[in-house]
Amino acid sequence: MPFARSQNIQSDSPIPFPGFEVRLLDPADAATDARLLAELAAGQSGALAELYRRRGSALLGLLTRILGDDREAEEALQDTFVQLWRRAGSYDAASAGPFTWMVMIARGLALDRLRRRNRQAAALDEYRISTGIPEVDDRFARIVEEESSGRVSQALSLLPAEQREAIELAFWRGCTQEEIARDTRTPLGTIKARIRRGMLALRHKLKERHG
Amino acid sequence: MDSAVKTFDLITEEEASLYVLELLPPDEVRRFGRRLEGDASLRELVRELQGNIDSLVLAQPFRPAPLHVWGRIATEVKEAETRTIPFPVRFGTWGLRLLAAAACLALGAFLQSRRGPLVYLERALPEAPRAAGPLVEVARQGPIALPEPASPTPHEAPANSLAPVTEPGVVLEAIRLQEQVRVLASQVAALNQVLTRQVQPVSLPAGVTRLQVFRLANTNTPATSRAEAETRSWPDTLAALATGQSASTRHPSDSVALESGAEPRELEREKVAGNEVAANGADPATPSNGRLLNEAQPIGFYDEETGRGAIALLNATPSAQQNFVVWSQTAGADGSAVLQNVGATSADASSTVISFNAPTTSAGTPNFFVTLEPADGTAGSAVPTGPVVALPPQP
Repeated sequence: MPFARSQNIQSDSPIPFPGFEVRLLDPADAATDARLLAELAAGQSGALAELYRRRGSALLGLLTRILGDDREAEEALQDTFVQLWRRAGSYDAASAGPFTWMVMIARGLALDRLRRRNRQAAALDEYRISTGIPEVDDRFARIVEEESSGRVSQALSLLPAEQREAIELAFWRGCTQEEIARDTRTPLGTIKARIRRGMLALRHKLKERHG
Repeated sequence: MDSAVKTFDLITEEEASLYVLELLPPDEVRRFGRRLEGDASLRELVRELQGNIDSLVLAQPFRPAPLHVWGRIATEVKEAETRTIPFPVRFGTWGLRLLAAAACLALGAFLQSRRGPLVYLERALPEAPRAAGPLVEVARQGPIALPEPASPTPHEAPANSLAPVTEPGVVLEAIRLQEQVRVLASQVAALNQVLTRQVQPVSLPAGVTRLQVFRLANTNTPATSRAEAETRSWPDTLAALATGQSASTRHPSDSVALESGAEPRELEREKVAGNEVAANGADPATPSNGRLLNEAQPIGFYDEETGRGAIALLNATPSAQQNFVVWSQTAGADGSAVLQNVGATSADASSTVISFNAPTTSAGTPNFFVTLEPADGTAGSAVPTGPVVALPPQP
């Protein structure tokens, strides 16, 4: 396991927090990641293999979570590491930690795929409606998705439901503020406030446990 | 983390949260980015909120990253590296990649421009009118078939088989296109030969990031040059270059005296690079006994920023007696041409890829040409004495 610390935050927190396993990157790990990105930027392709060894599994977990499809997640993982190789020179340590930077690249690529898929699904729905073809029974797929979603939502379960929902929609689904407001039938200002409170609460817990 | 962390108003906290989740519109991202640059405490807040992101990801069940995915990544990166040519200090196979890139560029340029070879030749060669003369003359006469090249390459284009066409313009265009196809086909063939033989890798210094790729024109096959060189007929070639005539080697009886080992000299630019009538009164329309051989057209690479470059003489290998020497040609303060020896094949080289260093001057980007020089020390001289085997690139 490449991450140095892994511990359970106790439920004596003012926020309900049943068994959320919090893992934080060790500063030494972050330094190693940063060094590997610097080597990559300098043209040392060998650093990419080391990054893959260190972060491939975590990023694949992220991609699988967003895409819900193992094969597509692997394709996105390939895209991610090629992008890391291409863009390593643009990494700015002042604006994000190396792992966060990698995560946001992977997430962006996954969300692009998700949006393409949604557009195709919308087009298919439109076609179904126009042609009268009945919708395919995808109950089993939904069950799998709900299971996966339930497992993941555990990670955010320390937050009030409305804050968790806003953050999940934003991070995992790539929804904009406006889309979240529309989908949840909530004023935009309220969505922003929920995100702020949720993010600060998470930060508070992390600082409390690892600061 | 520490109690000294600055507290922020709700709006700032909100913006920071939205920024981390990439929910801010682009203009607000830029504005917030500017704030971040000047506010260390705000950066700290953002860092901590980014820690939330890390934790969200790390809370996911990991999936072992498969080896086959890594294989695909490695393949894609390797292919991309070949296309982008980021130069390392030493490159083992970069010479081959350079050649491949040049071939692609040449093909791309052809497909895009569809410009005829005569246009190129007229711009590229001092003796272009003479070289183009026979072709133009034949074109005027109507249906033609181009002569077969001296040494057909394995990937040579099919033999010319123009249907009878009487319109001179159409015929000329057909000739141009046909010739261009033949040039490219022969280049690809030569490139294949080079790649197959795994030419000795060349080294370009570090720092080269951009390349100007250019083509030079053969005036002699290296074998011809070598044979002519052995007859000690080099000076006339140089004289021809100086007077703007054909730079190909001539029969020894046509030699024009030129002191070997003369002081560094300047050649009049318009006579070297232009297409003017020969200053010595020679008839430029007189057929040259040197032929333009399109197969194995030399390819050059030059980075204006660093002055680093290389020229590959395909299908040519230096002998123990001769070296190929690269000369740069720039304009002097008075507008005259200044020649400089910038690189040569070493005596024991097994390939004819010549790397050189020729910084761009205020006079502009140099032109380059290659001569065959004796390996007895003349290769390091300040003036070319041997036959020209590759002429300056097109502008």
